[in-house]
Amino acid sequence: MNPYEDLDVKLRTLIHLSKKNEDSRRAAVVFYLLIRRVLNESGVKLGFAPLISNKEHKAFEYMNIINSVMQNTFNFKIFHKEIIDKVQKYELLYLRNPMSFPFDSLKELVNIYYDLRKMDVPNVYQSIHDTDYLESSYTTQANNFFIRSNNGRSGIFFKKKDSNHVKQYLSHELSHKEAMIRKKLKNKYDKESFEQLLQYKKLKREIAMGNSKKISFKGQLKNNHLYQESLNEIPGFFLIGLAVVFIMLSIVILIQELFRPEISGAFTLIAFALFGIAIILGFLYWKLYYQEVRNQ
Amino acid sequence: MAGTIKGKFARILFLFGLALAFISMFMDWYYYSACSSGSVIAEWSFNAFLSWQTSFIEGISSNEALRPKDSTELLIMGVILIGLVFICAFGAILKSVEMTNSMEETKPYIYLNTFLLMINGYFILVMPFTFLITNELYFPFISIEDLSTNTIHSYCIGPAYVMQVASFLLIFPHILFSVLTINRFESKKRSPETLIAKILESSKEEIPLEKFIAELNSESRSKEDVSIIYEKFQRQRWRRTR
Repeated sequence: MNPYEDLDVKLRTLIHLSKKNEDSRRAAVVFYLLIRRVLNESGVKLGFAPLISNKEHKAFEYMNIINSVMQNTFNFKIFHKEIIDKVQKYELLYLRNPMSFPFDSLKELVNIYYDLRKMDVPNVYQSIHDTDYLESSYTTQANNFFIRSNNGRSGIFFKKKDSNHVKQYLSHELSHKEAMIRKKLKNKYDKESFEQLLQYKKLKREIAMGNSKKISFKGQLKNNHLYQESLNEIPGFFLIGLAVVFIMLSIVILIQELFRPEISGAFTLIAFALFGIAIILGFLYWKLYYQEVRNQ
Repeated sequence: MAGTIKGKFARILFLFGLALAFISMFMDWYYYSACSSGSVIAEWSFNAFLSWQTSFIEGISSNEALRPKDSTELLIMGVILIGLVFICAFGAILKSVEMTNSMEETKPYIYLNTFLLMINGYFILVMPFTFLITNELYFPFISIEDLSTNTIHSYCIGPAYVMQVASFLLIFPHILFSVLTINRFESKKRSPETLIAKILESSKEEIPLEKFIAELNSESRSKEDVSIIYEKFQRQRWRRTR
């Protein structure tokens, strides 16, 4: 369903009535405000402050600001120079005398509005925060480096040296892909490529930050596959729990023997045995859960 | 799928551990008895709520003389533990970390779970020092013969302590996993759509489209009316001139 269907019907009626009455004044006001609205939407979606509703804040200036930031950040421009020039020409014409906007120029104003509306800018907030995005893209592969799985076992630990190699490799891969998309976008803007570029940028940042960043999820956590993988760590935690209990019991026994010289030596063997079992359990955890994940 | 089963299994064990912790508070924590010449001269058992209890009838001097000291510490900690057990059970059943849409909702329960684990640890690690050693009782079990009075003193921890240890083992994996989960994952506070809609709504410029259409419509009608009247007038004038 076209979200602009209702609006387009009204706009057609407005243009028809304007022609009939030979009055372009009202249509000019409407299309000028619509152009500002569509630019405002694009700007906000890209993470810019909204276009403030006063004449001081001109639409073509807003377009220039967006373009310069995009050029600095992504090395391409969202708006072509021709469309900015057109917006500037007709905006200044409208602002100079809004009560007598020429009919011929109204046609241009209508064209500018529809050209801008066709652009369809991606929602930067969504591209950055949405895990659905992540799970359906290249990013998942990278995340899986950090929360790994092997034969049903997984963990959050891995060798720092290995992780650095993975980081370097991924950063290189991503930079290469980024450069290709930037080149493509420089020639012609399209929403999908821009979304991909945003994802790669986000991923590069995450890789640089390591595991310090939390994994965001939408909906119920049980549906997140990274969470599902992390559930495999639970049996390992039973081993840690058992080791902690044995250590606590051996501490109690040994300290009691220090306080009570009359029973000194009676439980020493038990205390050390418990301590030994705790060490074995710790070793088992290290071997079965911790080290295996690190060695992947 | 296997992961989900592990998660459910850990939660069931957690609830079972909570049940054990709760029941343990009504069980005996410690047993002490003394035998002299083959006959029992003193027998005491400690319960957190009822303090030291004896199966002997009151007034037997040897039994009264060997009564260990009272302690309110286990009573206070027991009350805290029972309260926590109920809150944590509620959290595990209704506010489970995997069922939640918002991490913020489950965080308080996970912190309370951690506090419960610490109380549990207190009963296992600290209580033997603060209660047993200070009351001249031994851990975990021992029989000591006092040659001067020819009496055998028997000391033994009760089922409550064993149940606390078992409870710790059962609740530990789930709690550790929950703590790691809230540190690894975060739920999105606001959807991007809502955020964008909110910003756009606040910066929206009103477009009087309907109003303009209505105005143009009425202007158009009035123009039509004028032209009809003019046409009528012209027709009448033409007839008159003929």
